Amino acid sequence: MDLSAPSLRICLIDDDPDHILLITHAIRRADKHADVHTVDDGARALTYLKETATLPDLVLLDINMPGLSGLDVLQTIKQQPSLRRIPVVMLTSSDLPSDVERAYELGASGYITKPLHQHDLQAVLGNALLYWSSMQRAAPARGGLA
Amino acid sequence: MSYKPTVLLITRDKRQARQVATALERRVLPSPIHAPDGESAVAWIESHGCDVCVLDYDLPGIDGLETAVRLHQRAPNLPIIMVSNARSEKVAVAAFRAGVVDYIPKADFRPDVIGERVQQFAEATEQDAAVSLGPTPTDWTDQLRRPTYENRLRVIGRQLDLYGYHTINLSEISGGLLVRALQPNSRSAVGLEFPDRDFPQLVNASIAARGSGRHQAHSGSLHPSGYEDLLRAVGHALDKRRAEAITITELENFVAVGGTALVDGWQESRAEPFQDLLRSHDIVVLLESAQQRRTHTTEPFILARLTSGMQRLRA
Repeated sequence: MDLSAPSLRICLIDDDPDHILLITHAIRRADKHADVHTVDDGARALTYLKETATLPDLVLLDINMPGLSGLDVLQTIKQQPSLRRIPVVMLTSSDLPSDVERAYELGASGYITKPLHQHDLQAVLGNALLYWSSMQRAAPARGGLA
Repeated sequence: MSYKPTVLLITRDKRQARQVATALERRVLPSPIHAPDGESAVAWIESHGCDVCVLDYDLPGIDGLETAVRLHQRAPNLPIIMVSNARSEKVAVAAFRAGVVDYIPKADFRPDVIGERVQQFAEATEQDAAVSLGPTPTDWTDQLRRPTYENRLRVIGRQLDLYGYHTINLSEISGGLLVRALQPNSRSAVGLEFPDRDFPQLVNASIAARGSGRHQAHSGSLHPSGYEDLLRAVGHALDKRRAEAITITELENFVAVGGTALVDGWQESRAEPFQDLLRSHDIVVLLESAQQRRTHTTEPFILARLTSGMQRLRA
């Protein structure tokens, strides 16, 4: 199974620079053309998502962040009509069932446990590509479906 | 009734359409799809199909009789109820010859009567479908080989049961399905690939094992009779809603099922994202539905497995 073009626009939200580096490399390994935008803070991420002209196709969001937590950011994203269709996959280092279940209740599309396995990332990226392909066939305005 | 039939209402009379919609709603039936003329109704049937049709005789363009003929040609088993203001009995006779199953003169028109007839025919259609699901020895293997979600997830579930994997996280990608699961008696995860190209081989293995199907299913709190039954039932529901890009994640208190699903509008269908959290009572409903569909099959060991699984979930 391959992850062929088109490539994804990914917004990676994580406060840990080491994690950002590792995850960005892992994404590049899975899809060298992926366009990754990184943000290290929940509030700044929301500002970016509300103001950017090109919405991401996928948000990878750390659950545990100082200030606005990943769950807070997720809740805001899912309440925004312009953002709610973007799949949000949570990054969690704890695999804490209550956090993950809360994330699904708020509308998360999936979760990946850190340290991140390439197989998990391949599943998430591949599914996001298929998701947008399915959405596009019925409504051809990728990223602007709301 | 838990079964939600698609009702196609063909009339140019908007007031009548509203009355019928209200009557169906009172019977907890879905709102009908409204077609204002015969041509658009025929086009709808060709692309979508439906379970019951209510057809007004008096239509712009092709009349109700011609519409009935064309619908019947395209969907011979579709129950068509005609409502007519024609005073001649000849129209009623022609309607029945055209394949209409019920004919209601407009003088007798009452929305609740229409609602009652629709419900009767929808229930009969559902029962027919249940009976027809009982496969004959010559066609059940063909049914299993169709690459539906029900069949694809079923064989994956069987593999998971056979090898004792648990706590699954399944994602569809282009060309197949990826599963992350915990290994038997362990918290260590493993990645499994189920490429679509391997599906025929997995089906053949399942068919070969059929009859010796009392395999050891790995049971869990949300899948007491094993992954094969759970994933097959979920797959059936996904096929019905015309899902794509699916994910299935098993968590402690629910199974999250997501993806996109086609939603019908009048002019066109559109894909919408969905995310269902299936808790134990939702899974009981899914398994009950699966059990009813298979009442007519020759798989008593599966029925017994489902029944005991549901009893454990209810407890």
